[in-house]
Amino acid sequence: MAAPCRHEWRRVVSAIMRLLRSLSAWRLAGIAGAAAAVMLLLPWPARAAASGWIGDRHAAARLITAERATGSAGMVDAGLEIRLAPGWHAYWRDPGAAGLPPAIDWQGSHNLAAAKLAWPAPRRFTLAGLETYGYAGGTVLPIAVTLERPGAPLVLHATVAYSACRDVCVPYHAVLDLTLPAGIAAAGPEAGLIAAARAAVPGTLSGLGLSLRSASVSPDGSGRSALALELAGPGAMLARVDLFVEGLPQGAPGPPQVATDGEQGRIALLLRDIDSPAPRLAGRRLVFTLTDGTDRAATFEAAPALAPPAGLAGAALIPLAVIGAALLGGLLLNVMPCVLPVLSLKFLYLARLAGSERRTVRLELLATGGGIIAGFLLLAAGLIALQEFGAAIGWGIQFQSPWFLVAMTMVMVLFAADLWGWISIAMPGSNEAAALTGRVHGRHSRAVLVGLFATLLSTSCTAPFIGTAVGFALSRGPLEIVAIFVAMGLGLAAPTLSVAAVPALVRLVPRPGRWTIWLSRVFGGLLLATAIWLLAVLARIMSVDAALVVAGLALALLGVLAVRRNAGGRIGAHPRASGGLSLALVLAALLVPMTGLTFRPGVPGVADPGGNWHPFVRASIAPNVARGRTVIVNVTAAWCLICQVNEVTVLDRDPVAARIAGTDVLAMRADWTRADASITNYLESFGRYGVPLDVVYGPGAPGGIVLPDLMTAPEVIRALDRAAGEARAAER
Amino acid sequence: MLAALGLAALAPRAEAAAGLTSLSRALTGFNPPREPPAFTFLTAKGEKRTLADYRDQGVVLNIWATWCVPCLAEMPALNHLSALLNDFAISVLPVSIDTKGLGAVKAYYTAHGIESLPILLDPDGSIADAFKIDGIPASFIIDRRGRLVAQCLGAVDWDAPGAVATIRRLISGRNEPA
Repeated sequence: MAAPCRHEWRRVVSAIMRLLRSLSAWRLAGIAGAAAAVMLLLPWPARAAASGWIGDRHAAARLITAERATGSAGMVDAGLEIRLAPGWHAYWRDPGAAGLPPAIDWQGSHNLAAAKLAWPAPRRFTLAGLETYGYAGGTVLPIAVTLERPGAPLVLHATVAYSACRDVCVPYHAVLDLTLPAGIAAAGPEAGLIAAARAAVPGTLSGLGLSLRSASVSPDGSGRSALALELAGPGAMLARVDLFVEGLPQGAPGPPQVATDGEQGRIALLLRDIDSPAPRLAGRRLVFTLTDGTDRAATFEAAPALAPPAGLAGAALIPLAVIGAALLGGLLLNVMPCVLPVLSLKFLYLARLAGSERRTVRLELLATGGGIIAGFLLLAAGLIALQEFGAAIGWGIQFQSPWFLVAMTMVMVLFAADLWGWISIAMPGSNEAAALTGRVHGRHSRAVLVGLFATLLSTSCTAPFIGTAVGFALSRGPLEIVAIFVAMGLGLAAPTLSVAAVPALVRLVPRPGRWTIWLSRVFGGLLLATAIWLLAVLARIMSVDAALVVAGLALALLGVLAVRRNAGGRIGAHPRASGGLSLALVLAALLVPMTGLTFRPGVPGVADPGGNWHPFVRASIAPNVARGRTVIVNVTAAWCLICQVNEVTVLDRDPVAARIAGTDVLAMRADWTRADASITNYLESFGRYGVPLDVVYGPGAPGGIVLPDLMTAPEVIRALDRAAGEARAAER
Repeated sequence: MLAALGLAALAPRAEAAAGLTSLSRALTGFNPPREPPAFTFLTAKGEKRTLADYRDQGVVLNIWATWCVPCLAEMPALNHLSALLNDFAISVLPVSIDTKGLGAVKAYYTAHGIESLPILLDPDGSIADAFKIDGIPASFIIDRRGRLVAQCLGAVDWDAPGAVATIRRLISGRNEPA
């Protein structure tokens, strides 16, 4: 071997100095140093079928060859042998959750054209729920070495990096040298080791007498997926089957569920809880390695097809139950507080219509219904676009956008002004108002707008059934999203549309009179209150300053409209002036989200939700449950009215508050007011795309109990008891 | 003395989370406290840090890597511990010896929701050298005067009930109420 170059000399000297400074130096350096020292003391590496062992008492590595000399074939059977003390293991080419698989750098070798590493079938190790794949006791990784010049000597210089673990892990870094002389390729003493290792490398499925019938992936309803394989063949008699998958975007699956049907000669394998949504895995090239606990193993490729989740009808079909849920959820949204202020407008307009022609009434109602459905189509289109761009999607996420909040605030102010009679939105002859509302013309455009805004506001609530419908839609493709959103729109529009179908119902509404004027004032006030609430959300998302600026602009807009109205017909000579000023104020408000008045993000995870609640740390759930504690997770958002209702009436009030204050309960609050990827992921893991979500975990329910969207104290206490499981039951 | 008293007060816990050793069992206290070796590490922005940057704070120093399964096993508990110790001016400093540095650590933090811990790096592993440790994970508890009061090797159940009290007692002496 050539003398070490200057750079290596420096490394050798520094390594020796380090060794001398401390004999128990960190092994990483120690091994490099020791290897270098060995190189110094033995300038001629072993001319044999094996290098020396480099490592320590836990793990060591050496190079071996099956032959004593290079022969004339141009190929040499070599191997990397790793020796491991009891309890220690090293890693397969895919280490699973973590681990450094052996990696070899052949720099410095001579007469080496190529070196192809093979991997004997791995076994599985599990620590604290983390799955890793590798070798215990020791292993030999066969290496097929191709020579540049057959018949000439071979000098192998391998720098090997790998890790070995027991209760601690050690990174190893071994420099191995082996020189094989020219000569007859007689078998050396290590030939048997390499042959045995070759036999342990997985072969083909047909080698096991099996063939692949099908591979499919299906959603499991919690944002994760399950992979199913069906194998067939007369040889379908395997002992302890294990299955390893390479090529998954993330995660290391646990062992498969195996069902064998000896008569039919079939094996069904099911890998559950794969940390990727099914559509991401569908069609993806995955490499499977099947082992049976003996030395029989096979590696094969498959691209799984997307299959329907268990319990649902067909992949392309939307189950009727989901459509039903969407319709019903939409219908229930009508009585949710988020929609009431806007929908109350509708009834007021309806009252004004009482006495009009049937046709007018019917058209007005149809226009509102159309606006509602258009609103849902708009939401669906937005969500599909976001999904196409790979962004996180969810129900009500437009409330995470300051632009939306500012625009809706200004819209609420305009509608309030309309109700007070200061302007007339989209009525013939009111051009300035039409300009403010986006130049929507036409007789019934106000009715359309009411429907549209009702829809956009409605998503700050979820109603019962909405979670199911939205969860299903957003986990699927564009077609399902549109279909389900239209169904929800039909549900929300149902009361309007049914009145349109029977316009006689309008006659039940009292004739307009003084009461409509009073009601208009009250509803105008309600809309202003909605605007104030939107500003409060804006204060959380951007900053209090930003919300104050927008509030100022909104007040100025009201002022301009009030002055215009008080000037009566006189200023009517300058409708363009007041219209232009109003438009300028709205545009100025829309500029606020672009200013520097943004929220300065605090240190993540440190924001203290206060009270009994700790900041949400998803990773804390499992360890706390493992220790017998009950964990309650409350995912909330400032713009989610149902969330606020739950907090005020149930979660932050006794008996629930007293219960979760106990040391046996860890209460964590996740705030989704602003977009937060980790919270979105958590929601998706329950197939949810919106808030509220409340989950209780415990020894009795490690997978979590999902609480109803609108909860009651007894339900929460029951869930906490159930999650606490036997431990708590025994105390009683 | 201080460490010994702190440890004696602990009753061994019946069971720890699967795969993790209870803190009381894993700890080796130093009496008297020792001077820690000199070492440096980097922040995510590449700024150099030493223990002197954390003077007047207690420190739980953890040496880990993303390829080390026992390290990953204790990381969520360490993440939670950090949030719990936040109120007591005690910093949890996990220094990764990943040779791939920032990328590997950031990817792990993101994928596993590690939000309460800083990203700290020592890509050449010199910190492990300085502490003369055999393997990772290894953790060191350092008091407010910068002295080493305890260490433990292997994965520990950091957020078990009592762990915060134990760490506070070790760091601040027995005068501080638990």
